[in-house]
Amino acid sequence: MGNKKTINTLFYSFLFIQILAALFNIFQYGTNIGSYFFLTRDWSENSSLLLERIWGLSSLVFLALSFWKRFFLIPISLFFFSLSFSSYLQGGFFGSEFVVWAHLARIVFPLFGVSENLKVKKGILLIGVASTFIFHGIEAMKGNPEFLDLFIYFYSFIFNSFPEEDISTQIIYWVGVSDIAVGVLALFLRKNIVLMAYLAFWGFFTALLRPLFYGVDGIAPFFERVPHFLVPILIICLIKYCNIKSNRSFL
Amino acid sequence: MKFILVLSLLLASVSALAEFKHLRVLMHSDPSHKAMVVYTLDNKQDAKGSELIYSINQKIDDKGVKNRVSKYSIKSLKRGGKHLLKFALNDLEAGSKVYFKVVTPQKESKEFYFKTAPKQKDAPLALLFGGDSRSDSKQRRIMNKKMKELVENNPEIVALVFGGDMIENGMSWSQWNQWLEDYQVSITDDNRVLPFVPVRGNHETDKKLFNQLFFMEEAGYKDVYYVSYFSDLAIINLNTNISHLGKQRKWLKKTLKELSAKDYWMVPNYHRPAFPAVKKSGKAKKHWVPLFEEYGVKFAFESDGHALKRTAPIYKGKINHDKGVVYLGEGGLGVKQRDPKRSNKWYFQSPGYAYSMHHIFLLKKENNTINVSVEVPNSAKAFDQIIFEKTVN
Repeated sequence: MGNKKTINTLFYSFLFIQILAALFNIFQYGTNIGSYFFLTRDWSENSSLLLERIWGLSSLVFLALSFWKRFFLIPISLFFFSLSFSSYLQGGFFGSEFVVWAHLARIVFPLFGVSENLKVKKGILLIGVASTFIFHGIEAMKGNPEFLDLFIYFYSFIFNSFPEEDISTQIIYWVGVSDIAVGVLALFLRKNIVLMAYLAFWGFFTALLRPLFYGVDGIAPFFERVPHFLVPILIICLIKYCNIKSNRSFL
Repeated sequence: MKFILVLSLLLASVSALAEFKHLRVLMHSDPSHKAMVVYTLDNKQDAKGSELIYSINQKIDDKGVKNRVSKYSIKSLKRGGKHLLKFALNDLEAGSKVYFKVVTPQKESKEFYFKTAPKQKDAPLALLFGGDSRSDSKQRRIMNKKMKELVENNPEIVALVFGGDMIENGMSWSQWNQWLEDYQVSITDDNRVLPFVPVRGNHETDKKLFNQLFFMEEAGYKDVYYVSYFSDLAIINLNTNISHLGKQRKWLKKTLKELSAKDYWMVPNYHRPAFPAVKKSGKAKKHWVPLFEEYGVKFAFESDGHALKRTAPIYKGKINHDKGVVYLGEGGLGVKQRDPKRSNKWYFQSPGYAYSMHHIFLLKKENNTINVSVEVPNSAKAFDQIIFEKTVN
């Protein structure tokens, strides 16, 4: 079962990288888990940081335990949920009101390994990636300044001149519309490999813009976004796998 | 009977204009000649017939001979069901004391005053700088009291230049309400109001509400980036909540070019730091800092991190005592201070530092020198003093 082994390796390797990227953020800068759940509740800074780090590191322990029992992947998903949910509660950045939905691919990615049922696996991943595309699309339509700067920077990188902001805003708006369209389509055309390949390409490309734009500071953000392209790739694998064998033990 | 009469008189005086809340004076680009006096009202009707009577450099004349009058305008806030009563003063004299009171057909307010910015380059000028007053009303009041003390001891202070993140949730009227209540603590015992220059932080999430509260559209700065001219000191207020690369960068480049040609002191002031003490660098580092360096900025104010910091002078990613820009910040007007995790970064080498400490900066300009002192609560002595000399082109 070469396919199965490859997919398992892919899944666990990238989940490990996704956790490392989150841990890098926790140890280097601190995240909203510490700020919102502890610091704003009058815990000391050191206690908040310590608890945040323990919570982050425990996801590595859960990853190790998941080789023994798969349900240990659930707390990893909860860890990513807590990262997004604390950001939602803390607010203070563009699109914070729907950050959980925009991050759903990252949150559900660990759940890929929990169920044996291929339909459940595929369903979870589809909802995750569709939600991520739809809500990033909404952010783009609302003029997220980060997306705008990424576009302007990419344009200047290619053409060596800065585009007009008004035109860039219009382009980002239509990119948002297309993100929403493909996100919605993914829920209906669930076996369409071309569509999933596009999602994977776009997820990879937009993640890659981070290191391009931020330099070294963009490396961790790139790896945090691994599920944006890996989830559609896993869906493609499942589509292909389903064509060969239906509903068999996968992990 | 006598007691009841005295009591009712007392109550009547207390309730004089009690419906006019949250007195504040706003300054934007021309603090020498323009200011807005603003109140919050529960009912629009309370504004009916109200006028602002003001007088330059002398207390309001009871006979009304030398008084000036400003008519009101009112607008409803998008949240909270409140209304803003604004008196625009557009014909002020530079370097003057402006005495004012609000009069309605039935009542009148106490007499307050504020100062406008001087126009002459050699006139003494002082400003307060600070950001991040969100989340902790009690500490915010302590810092506002500190501002009051500073204004009382340094009468040349004109305004507080804010660095953003006034409150935690920019969509919450109750938080704005509390912030505006707390700001009243900064009014001195002789009724001097400290005007403020607004800048948007990342927690001012509701752009429309922020713009309404601080009359940004009326001032002509709906995107909240603009220059405030305090004689030959140009505070370049930037907005880190919007694109750093689009129109704002173009404007910044043009503005720096013009100001440096005219030999202004140029002091950028923005929220998200380029050289942080706590978090990641903002986009300013890549897209604005090269412009600061190109046009000879000496120092900039940053906020957001919730720690006190002073960087070593930085030029092209290295410490350079001749050409470097010093970054001061980063947000200590009330929010709980963080442990500056990045205090071991290269740019905090001596004379730089980063500490967890509430603070406010007092900038004093005299001729070709600017002295920035770091003021902390519960201490009459400045924590640090930094002197910048102007390089004449």
